[in-house]
Amino acid sequence: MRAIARALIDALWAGLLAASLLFLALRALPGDGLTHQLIESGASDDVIQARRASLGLDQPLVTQVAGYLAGLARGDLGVSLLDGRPVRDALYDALPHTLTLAGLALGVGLVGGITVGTAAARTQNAVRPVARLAIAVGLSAPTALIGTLAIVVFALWLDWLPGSGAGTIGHIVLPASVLGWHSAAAIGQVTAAALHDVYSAPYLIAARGRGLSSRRLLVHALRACAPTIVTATMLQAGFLFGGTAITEAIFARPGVGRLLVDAALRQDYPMVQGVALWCAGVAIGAALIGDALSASLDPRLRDVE
Amino acid sequence: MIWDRHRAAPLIVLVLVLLVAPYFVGDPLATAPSMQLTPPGFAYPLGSDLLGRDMLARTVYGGQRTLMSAGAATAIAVGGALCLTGIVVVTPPGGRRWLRLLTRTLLALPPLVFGLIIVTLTSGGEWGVIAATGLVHLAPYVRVLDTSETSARQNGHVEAARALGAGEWRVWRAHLLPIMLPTLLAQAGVTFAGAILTSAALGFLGFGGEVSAPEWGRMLYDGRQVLRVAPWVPLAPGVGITLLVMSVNYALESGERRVRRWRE
Amino acid sequence: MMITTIFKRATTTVLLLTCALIVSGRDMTRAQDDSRRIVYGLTFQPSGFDPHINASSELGIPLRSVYDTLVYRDPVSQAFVAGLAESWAISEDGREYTFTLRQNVLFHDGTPFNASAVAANLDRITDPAIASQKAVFLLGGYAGYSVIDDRTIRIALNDPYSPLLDSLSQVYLGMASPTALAAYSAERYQFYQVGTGPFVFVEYVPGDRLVLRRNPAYVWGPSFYQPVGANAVETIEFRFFTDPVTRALALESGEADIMGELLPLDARALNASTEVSLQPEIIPGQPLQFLINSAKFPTDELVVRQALLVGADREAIADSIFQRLSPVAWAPLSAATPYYNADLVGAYAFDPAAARDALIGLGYSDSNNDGVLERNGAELEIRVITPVWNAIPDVVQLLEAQWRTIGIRTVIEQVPSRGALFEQVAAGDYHLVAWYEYGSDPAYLSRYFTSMGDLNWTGYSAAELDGLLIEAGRQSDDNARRSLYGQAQRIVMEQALILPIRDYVNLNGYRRTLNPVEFDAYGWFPLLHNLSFSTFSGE
Repeated sequence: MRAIARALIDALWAGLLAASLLFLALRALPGDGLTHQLIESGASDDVIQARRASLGLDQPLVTQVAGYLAGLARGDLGVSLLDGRPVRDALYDALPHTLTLAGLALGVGLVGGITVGTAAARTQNAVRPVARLAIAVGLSAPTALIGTLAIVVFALWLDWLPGSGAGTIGHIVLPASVLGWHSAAAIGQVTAAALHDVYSAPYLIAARGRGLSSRRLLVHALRACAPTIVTATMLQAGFLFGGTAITEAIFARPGVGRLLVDAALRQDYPMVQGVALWCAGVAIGAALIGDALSASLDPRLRDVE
Repeated sequence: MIWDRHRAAPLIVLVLVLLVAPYFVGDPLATAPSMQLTPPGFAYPLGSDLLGRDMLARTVYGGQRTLMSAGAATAIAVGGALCLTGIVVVTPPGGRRWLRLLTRTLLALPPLVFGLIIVTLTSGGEWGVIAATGLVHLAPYVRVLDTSETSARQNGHVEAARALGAGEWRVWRAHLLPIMLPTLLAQAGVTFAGAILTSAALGFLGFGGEVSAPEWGRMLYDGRQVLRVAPWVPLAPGVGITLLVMSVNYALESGERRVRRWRE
Repeated sequence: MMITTIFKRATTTVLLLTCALIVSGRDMTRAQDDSRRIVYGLTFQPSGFDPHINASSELGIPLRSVYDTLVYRDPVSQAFVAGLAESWAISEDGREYTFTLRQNVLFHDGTPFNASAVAANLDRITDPAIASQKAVFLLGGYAGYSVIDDRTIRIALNDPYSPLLDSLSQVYLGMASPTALAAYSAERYQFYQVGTGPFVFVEYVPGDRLVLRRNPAYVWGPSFYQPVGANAVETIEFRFFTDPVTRALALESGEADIMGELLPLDARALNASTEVSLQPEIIPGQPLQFLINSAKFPTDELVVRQALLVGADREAIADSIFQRLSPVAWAPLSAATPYYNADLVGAYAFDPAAARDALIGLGYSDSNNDGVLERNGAELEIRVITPVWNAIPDVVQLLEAQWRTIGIRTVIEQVPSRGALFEQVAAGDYHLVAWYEYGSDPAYLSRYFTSMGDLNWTGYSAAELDGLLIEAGRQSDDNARRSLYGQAQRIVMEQALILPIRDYVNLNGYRRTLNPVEFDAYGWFPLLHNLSFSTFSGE
């Protein structure tokens, strides 16, 4: 219990630190999207000053940071520099798409990863090299390549699935599979390595000696690997929920990644901050859950500091 | 099979090819609009792109450039990680908790997000992308180094050295570092592979400097526009990235085995 | 034990998948439940969607049909026809325009349209606090208005300004409901827009969609708006396809029904499609061009500028990058723009040898044999500000190669956004900057080529050009304007102030389930009112 509380507090501190650092880093930059837009329309200095003042951009940095953190406590992530849209609203609109995509990709990754990892570690016939190749390619191929090829093959040539947009389950299959392949490869690699280690452990050899069927051996082995697999999965979860920008661009889907890229290109700093903070929060949360799950699955890990 | 014994071979071959081949191929920047989008053949072994440039030359030069940026990014990551660990060493235990928190925060940001922020801070440009990639991959080191440092401390040498009156810094440099080195190298390999993908991703999203100089990430991005009539244009850099990263990972597998055997 | 573990893992997976499905279910409720609904692809996400404030033409594609304007320009005859103003009178000295407004017109929120509504709009556009990027500039020497009565309003000008009617027919001067304008701040209004047009603004989610629904009470459209039939389109959902590769794919797979700005290669391929038709639209305005900085060495010399033009193989660019779907440009205006000077066609034809000779004649030589000409130690190096959109980087790369053969080194300065471009220009360290603007009335040329113009990026200043452009902006006589703009264009080209590349042609595609899409006089904006299905089963 105390360990959980301590972990939570640490996570909170990490979050606060991240928020402050992000804020300071972005605010320290000369120029921003709003000023550029105003300069472009030939606005006089007065107008620019007035606009910046109305957004509180002219106050000393420390005040701004404090104000921002206070806002965070209320759940207020600030407003976009360019259209005054609350960052929270923008996130709320974009989140369902990203959550769907990342969630399904994670599912594909987990199920596919364990499958292909087991195949790569335990099978003897032609399946093994195929599985290992699938893992290697999944880890190495850029998402842009896989995604574009997938669109051409499945949306254009075969016309089985829609190649862009969002709105139905059909729209998610391709993007989730493309993203999921990479996660499956990562989880698969970890699974394969862990299985390899476990199978050379004395107790498993003893169990085999006692005549346990290979199926039950596998289940035992997987259970022993569970903490490692869980950690890897949670790591992937953190990446997925924050790193969908490319997939969203290729498949013309709205989402958090797109939001971030657009904001970065337009130098809309409050938006960049808000999205980045959310991603960081998810990653920290995923790590927490991962640690908790690992601890519950393997009592030996519970006493680690 | 020879592959299993010399796992680093594919990587070495690929790197050598990329470093040497530029002397044998044509000009990657020479345009010939009337010869645009020719399929691979005698005149253009890997075909030509929208502006009639030789894809073989561009792929080779682009690969070299990708290698260099990934290498620079890895150097930044390794250097930064060493500095950071050095700082951790000289910090009193109270401050260490905060430093760990800081690194956990850095670790929390997914690579692409972090990279985008840094790229925004440096207003795009090639060096911005390299710096971003390097910093992005810094966090895993700290966790890795931390773990190996802990296990190294449990080793008898450190206790002995301390008992003999060695200072913290000397302990770190003479006893801990040599033990952590193999892990560091292994992680550097992982970073290298990751840096290739991250800088390609950032290039894909529109960041990173020069328009004309070939680089695999940008080539993949631009090449997609002609995917349907000239698939070789995006496929060459795409497959290039995949092969390069695969060979790095493959070489790492042997490195990892050696590290494990060393520990035991 | 084993069962618990498996159970735990299975639960996690199932939970994740269920969450995903539930959340995606939310997606599904937005799915098509309306058979007279189409998806229109937008290609650019502007930083704002307010026509009074932002300058992007992309926003006009949906908003042209949300707002009416006082006057309209007939797409075929180019003449001005009645819109929200039934009739208008221009005073003798050209400084006063009196508009008699149409009666019984209502905004989508029920507010009646009248002279004070027009006044509220003019106030907003000219308010310095909202920092309008285009609308206020379209008003020229605007001096104010006077409301005569409920259906009459008079607009006053400091000086005669002949483009005023043209400006008042553009979406940027569309009439918005004063109630809505007052209810929201300048930045927030774009999410709650209210006009009098044939389509009602339903919602706008940046980066995701913008939805319009037909206004059933709309009966006050201009003469070229067709009567609404049984197969008319009811609802239009605009989605953003910023990655050019996704556009043709979306069109072919049916994800989108109409899409603009297709890639030239994709457009070519669509000619063979049975499901999609290609519809190229020529856009009047400036061509894609490079403005040349005549105030900075080495482009401060006329011969050097001319060498840049003569050394550029524009036919090759039109062929390879634009697949011959865009004509080569020869003047500061594109061929489809009123008052275009057709005599300038063929000026500065490609002749690399002549270009190099001219440079050598100026005293340049390649003394160190590095391929770049220099004179007195100064190399012939030019910096080009290159936006990353619309194939401009490809154009610049071809130019770079062509100029290298005549001994000029090119440095490409890439800019990822409009804001960054303006920043670079303000810094002053450039020789060429890629730019273009759209519009049927060439009055905007004053912004670029008069000495006091706010977009005078060529740094050129001459009394003759100033006089021509200012007078052309005041003249109301068509022939006089033609002659004045003709001379102005000639001077711009004689002084080699720009390198024109290609006339802009918007490559639109639409699925054959729809009748051909019509566009307005400005080329960019579809007449959404007239959109209809070609085969309608009458569900």
